[in-house]
Amino acid sequence: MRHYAGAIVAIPDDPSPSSITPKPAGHGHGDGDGALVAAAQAGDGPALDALLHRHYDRLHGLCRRMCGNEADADDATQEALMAIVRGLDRFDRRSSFATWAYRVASNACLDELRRRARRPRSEADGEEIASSSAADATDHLAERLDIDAALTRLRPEERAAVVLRDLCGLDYAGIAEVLDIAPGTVRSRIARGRARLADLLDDGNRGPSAPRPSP
Amino acid sequence: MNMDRHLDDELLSAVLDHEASDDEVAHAQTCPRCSAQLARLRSAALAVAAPPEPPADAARRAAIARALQERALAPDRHRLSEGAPDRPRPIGVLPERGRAHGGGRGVPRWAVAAAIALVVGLAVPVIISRLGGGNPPRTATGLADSSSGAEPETSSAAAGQIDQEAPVDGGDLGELSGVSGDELASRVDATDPQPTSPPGPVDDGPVAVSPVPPAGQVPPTAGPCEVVARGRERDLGPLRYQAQGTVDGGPVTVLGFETLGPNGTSRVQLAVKVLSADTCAEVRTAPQG
Repeated sequence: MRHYAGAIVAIPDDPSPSSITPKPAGHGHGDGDGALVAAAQAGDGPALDALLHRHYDRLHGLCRRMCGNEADADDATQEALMAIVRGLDRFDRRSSFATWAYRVASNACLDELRRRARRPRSEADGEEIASSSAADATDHLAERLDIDAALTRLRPEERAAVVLRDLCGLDYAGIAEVLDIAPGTVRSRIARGRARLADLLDDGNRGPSAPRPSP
Repeated sequence: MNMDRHLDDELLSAVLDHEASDDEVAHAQTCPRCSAQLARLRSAALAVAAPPEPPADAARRAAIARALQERALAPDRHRLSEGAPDRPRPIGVLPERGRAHGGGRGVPRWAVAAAIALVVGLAVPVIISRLGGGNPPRTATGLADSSSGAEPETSSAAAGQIDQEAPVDGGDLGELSGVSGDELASRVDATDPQPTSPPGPVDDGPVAVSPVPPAGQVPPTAGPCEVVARGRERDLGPLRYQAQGTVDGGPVTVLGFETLGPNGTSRVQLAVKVLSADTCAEVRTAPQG
């Protein structure tokens, strides 16, 4: 059995994806993945294990923000891991492993959202939706509205673009690759998503009657 | 470029991402209206950028273990797919759930199911028989007469001694109908490079394996005992087998979980748990290769 302790030690800690400061493409996502990917593709179990551990938290974070709750995020992340394992040998490293994994996870999240949309809604879900969709009639929206709730009110494609940019730190080109859309579309989706979020968060902070600054 | 017009949200968002021109950036910084909207967009972006609570270590390990089992169960599947395009499928076309274990290309479903059936069929009766002591079987539905020192039953015969057993994924073992024990064994031998060692001589003992509920009914789901078992051992994989029986008159639930072999991924094992059906207390654990 091959050992990868040296290679793993040499891999720097993953940078936090939380900074909004613009980052160069990749900005450390997957730095040092090459050896692990090659070994994993050759059938080395510990290398695959290490690779999945390296990326799990980021993928789970993406799914958490995409799905809006922990349970669905867990399911989507699990699906993503399975898909990564199944498809690893088809990954030819033209893009970074991180970008490829984000794409797989994004697919899993969108599928999870579709499944959730088909599930019968519980009474509690209905109340939540009714409340959130009638913001002007809700006095306690500010207490209830968090970022997850706000994100769930974006269209899934806008949500994906915003999360990939602001949480995962991908640049426009990377997001375009992940979502298989044009960079210009990435730009517009991010803009629409952020503007909508800003409105929602303002509403949550000020109450529904507060006016939005005119553009 | 003369920036005498206010920037729209798309340009302001691009400014935030350093994807805008210098003129646009300069305008956004000096124009009160645009800088105010830029601040709103930045606040939204920062809210999204706050990382969610990281998953628990146990959850992370379990999720990765399940994914690795996918690889361990179908090590050759990926070879078969070599040459396929790198591009992931279009958005939203993930494979359906429930196909992770033996349901995809490569290793046939029957091979996975046969390996599990053989292991469980050999192991569970022996486990239960060893719990009983040194007396011969005492019920009609108990283990078949296994004289002292006799070789264990064939897999198909042994499996039949548990009246109520069911794979969790019914589709897998359902494909085994009509397959003889010898054929089953030969298939497994041909599939598994490290076939399960047959158990040792079966102790004579007061074994009563009776159906709970009566034969012919679909056994209940594992329910709380599965939860209890997973609470004790975090690394248990998917539930692949369950059966109901009795040991010394007490109802037991027999659960077979996939687990990883030593060093993580080298090989999938089946961990068989015999739990009291009343309390879920573990009667015996017997990992099988």
